[in-house]
Amino acid sequence: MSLLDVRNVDVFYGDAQALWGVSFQVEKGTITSIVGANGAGKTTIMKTISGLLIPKSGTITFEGRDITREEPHKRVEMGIAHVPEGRQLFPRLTVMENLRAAAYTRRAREKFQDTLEEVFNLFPILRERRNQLAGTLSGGEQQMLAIARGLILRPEILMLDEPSLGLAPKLVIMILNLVRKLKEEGYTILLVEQNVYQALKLSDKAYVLETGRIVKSGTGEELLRDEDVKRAYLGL
Amino acid sequence: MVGLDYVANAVVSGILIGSVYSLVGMGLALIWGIMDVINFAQGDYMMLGAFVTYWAFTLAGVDPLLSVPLSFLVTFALGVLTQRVVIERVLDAPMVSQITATFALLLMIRYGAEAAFGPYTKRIYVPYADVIFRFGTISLQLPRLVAFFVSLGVAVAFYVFLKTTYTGVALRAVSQNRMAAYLMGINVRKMYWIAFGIGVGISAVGGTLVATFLPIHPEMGGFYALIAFIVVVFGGFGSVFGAYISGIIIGVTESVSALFISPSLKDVVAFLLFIAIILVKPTGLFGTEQR
Ligand SMILES: Nc1ncnc2c1ncn2[C@@H]1O[C@H](COP(=O)(O)OP(=O)(O)OP(=O)(O)O)[C@@H](O)[C@H]1O
Ligand SMILES: [Mg+2]
Repeated sequence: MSLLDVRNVDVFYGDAQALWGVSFQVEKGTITSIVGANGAGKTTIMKTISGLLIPKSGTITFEGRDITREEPHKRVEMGIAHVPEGRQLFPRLTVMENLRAAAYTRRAREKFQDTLEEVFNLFPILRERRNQLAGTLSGGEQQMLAIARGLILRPEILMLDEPSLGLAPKLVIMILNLVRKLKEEGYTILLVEQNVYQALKLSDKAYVLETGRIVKSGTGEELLRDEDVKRAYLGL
Repeated sequence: MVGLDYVANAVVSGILIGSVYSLVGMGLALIWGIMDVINFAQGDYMMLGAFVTYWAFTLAGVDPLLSVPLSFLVTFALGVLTQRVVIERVLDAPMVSQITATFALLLMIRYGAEAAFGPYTKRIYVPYADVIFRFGTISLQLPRLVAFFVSLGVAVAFYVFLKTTYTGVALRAVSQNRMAAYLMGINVRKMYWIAFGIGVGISAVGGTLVATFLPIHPEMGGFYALIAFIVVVFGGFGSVFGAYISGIIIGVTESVSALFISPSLKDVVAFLLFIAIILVKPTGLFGTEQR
């Protein structure tokens, strides 16, 4: 049984359909990537999994439970963490308060002190800045805080939507190395990443999304060798 | 010429009454800041707080100060109920629907109370009502002084709650980014219940305090709601602590200006001050530029 099983999901924004019969699985302990052009529906998929959007039809199963219509906060309690595109921090809360806001669920709060220590070891700069307002952090620090908040949730699956967007090349590499490290520590990751080449190299499994439909899937390596993928996403 | 001691007296009494305005304004600011809902019935929940205190005193002999928690809890419960039954349904509706809904609440509470309690002015005669403290030329009525300290205590307790508890941090998180709050596992709907409950509860404590030194009436909410609106806009819209300070500033403005012009014009002065501030700093005294 897959950790996450998305089946035949149709999602609409009002009358406009954004996802068409999307199906894919995420296995425990793997990195799974979704690759697609701007507007393909990658963010929409993540929002549907975290419960910000409810599909018109289809099902989402997590650890064998149907969560298609579950409220977002209950999904977080079950272990679904979504680090959204564009960071979405609480700008007028401090770094520490942002992390505490993520320790609202029972699941997160029980382990908060331990997780906090781990997170600060992972991102020492956040420890230094813990009393600074999140809105005044640099772009890179903000992204670290966004990921740190995701880790505080103690997730079974961590969804990262464009975690390196807008960062300097050095930071992009740092974030991608972090994703690899998290996998080694046993995290399950669903990744959307503009650096398609790097993302596919990291990924155990990947899906290609075009205008709301999954058109291809395979291991990261398979897709790296795929002619269509090379042309469309790797500029080769 | 007005003597300096009169001015000093007016400033002090302005601070004391202002601290009650602050509470009513804080409640309004909290609801506004967290939900973007303008609660026109805010003053009427305050009135309910005053009547809870009145009846507890009249029927059971409960000292008004002891009824502060009672007044808070009763209106908190009513606030949660209101949120679940009414406000929740119009949260994502156009502003006009929200205004209509809270205005309907105003009418129901205000005239419901009038039907139930009669259209009469009521007074609580506490034994210590006429105890007066003198500091030099300044004289203070004990109930007003107590009201000030209770108000300050409530504001400090609320501050500590927002800063140190998980629920307090979650409330602030919801007000800053609702979507992110969902993703952090915060039960946003429940936060809204709490926000509305605390918002009207704090204002109701203001009602309780007022009842110890001023007459109360089912329609009293109208005046205080107006003041609360000035307080909130003045304090920088959703800024809860800006509201606290501006409540006091408005109290002082009112009572000092009453020395120079007819007391019946004192509210006009508060509004003039309000207009002046808005012209100079449209985001309010303590407002942030972004939003
Ligand atoms: N709130 C919304 N209302 C209406 N349409 C939307 C909304 N959000 C997204 N869409 C539309 O849904 C489609 C998928 O958008 P989505 O944000 O999921 O794409 P994406 O793959 O994440 O793109 P990007 O790489 O630019 O982040 C797009 O056509 C977009 O215009
Ligand atoms: Mg996107």
